[in-house]
Amino acid sequence: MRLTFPTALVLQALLDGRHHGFDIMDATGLPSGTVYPILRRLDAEGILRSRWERETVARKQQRPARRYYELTAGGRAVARDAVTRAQGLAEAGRRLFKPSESEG
Amino acid sequence: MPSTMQRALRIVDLAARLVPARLRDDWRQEWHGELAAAADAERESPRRAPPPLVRYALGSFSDAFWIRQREVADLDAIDDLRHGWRQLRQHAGFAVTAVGILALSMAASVTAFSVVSQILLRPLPYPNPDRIVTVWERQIATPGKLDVAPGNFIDWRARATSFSQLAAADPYSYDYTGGDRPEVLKALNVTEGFFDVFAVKPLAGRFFRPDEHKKGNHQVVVLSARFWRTHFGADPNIVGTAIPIDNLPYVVVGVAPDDFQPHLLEDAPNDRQIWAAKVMEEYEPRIRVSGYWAVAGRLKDGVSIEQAQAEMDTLSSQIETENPRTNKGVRASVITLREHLVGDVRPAVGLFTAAVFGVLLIACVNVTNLLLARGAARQQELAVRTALGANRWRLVGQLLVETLLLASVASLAALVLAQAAMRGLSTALTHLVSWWSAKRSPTATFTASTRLGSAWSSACPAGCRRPRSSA
Repeated sequence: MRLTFPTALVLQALLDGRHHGFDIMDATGLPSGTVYPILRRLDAEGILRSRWERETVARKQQRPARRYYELTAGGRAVARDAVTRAQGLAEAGRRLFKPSESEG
Repeated sequence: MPSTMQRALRIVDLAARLVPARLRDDWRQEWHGELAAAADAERESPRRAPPPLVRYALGSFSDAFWIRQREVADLDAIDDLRHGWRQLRQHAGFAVTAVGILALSMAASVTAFSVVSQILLRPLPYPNPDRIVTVWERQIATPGKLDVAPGNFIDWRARATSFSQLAAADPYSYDYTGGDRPEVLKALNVTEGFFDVFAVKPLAGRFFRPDEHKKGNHQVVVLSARFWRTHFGADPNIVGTAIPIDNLPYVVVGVAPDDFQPHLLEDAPNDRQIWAAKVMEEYEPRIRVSGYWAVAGRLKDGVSIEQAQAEMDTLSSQIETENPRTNKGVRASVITLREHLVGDVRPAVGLFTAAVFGVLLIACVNVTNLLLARGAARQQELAVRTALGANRWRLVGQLLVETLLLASVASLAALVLAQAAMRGLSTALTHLVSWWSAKRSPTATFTASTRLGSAWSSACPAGCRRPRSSA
């Protein structure tokens, strides 16, 4: 699977129990134009599945039903793996991008 | 006014058009659901900053594009482009011929248009340029323009009421000894109000005061912007200091703006470097024949050029009666500055342009023929594509993309050619049209896009006709 940093963020949000597109945007701080294509791709790759939320819930809140995304069993493992890799990447970045002390 | 929510929903509905019909309803509902939920969240906890619904909604475009790209397996245009490029490379002889024909004729018309737009269409760099006129002498029987004799100008200026300002320029040259070596400066000695005629503002300092046109105060000059830059490094402190002109100290009182070169007199293809304050000599009012001055004026508000001409006709008759010996048959012509500048070249430029556009038209017809001929040779390919399920629109699209590709390549080549042509022409034009300036070329780029459009449309008939004959 192609792992971009935003993808890892989205996966982490899903692991954290966010299930709707806009909630994932809130959690990750990514714009909608980034989050949705990632969700579509993960959906197509079988890492997550999606369904409509129950009509009753939507009707009670008087709004259209929302799409509900969750990791598949296989996807959960992939997600953990991806997040670990991204953490490694972030760690390396933190070391590399730190304002250099040796320079002064 | 629509609410933020309504605006966001409208954006999403717009984006939904990109989504293939099969998925569209679900897709729209998902976005509507999320936007509604986000709006609800705001209503429940109003202390939080309102969610940027419109920005969220704009993101739906990338989502829609992404889905479209995945679902519509062959993104037609890109596919066609790739195919078209291959076609052109396989038939290099055809491609080079067509591109060559188009490029040459397009370059010619771009160049022609650049010249025309600069000569005929570019506004003169003065406020209300239509109100600026030049006044010339002429013999009653002949239409030409003759330079003005000082005595006549002095009478015009004293009596004419059509002008808010009427001024004369006396061509002159000065020796400048302030540089590394002596130089001759091209100059105009200008009467009071000369700069007011053009209503320009100085880059630095000021223009001449009335008292500077009196003997004793007259050793003052205004520098041209170019002379100021080349000789004084654009130093604003030069204003108020004296520079050695004709071995006398002349005080620089100001610098004229960059575009200020009225080119009133046709003897000088080169720009003037300084303007000096004109002092009327004691003998000048008596000079009424063989003039050598240029006269420019600004029409008063509400006075038409015809009215000004009528007044000058009356004046000329009066002056003729008063000076029968010198002014027999001498009249005055009032001509707008633009007419003065372009009047002589306009017919030539028009003819030249018409010819060049004719060539472009012929070239387009030729290329269309080439395309039609090649279309006949491609019957088989088109038949195969039809057999594989391509409908007519698909074929037309493909052929259009190919011709557009052809035209695009040609217009790129044409741009390069046109740039080169402009460079060459500029030198020639500086001699032909005294006030030509080569520095303004952005029109060339603008025109290129126009031409691109016209080449495209000329290529289109070929694209449209072929499938019909092959179907």
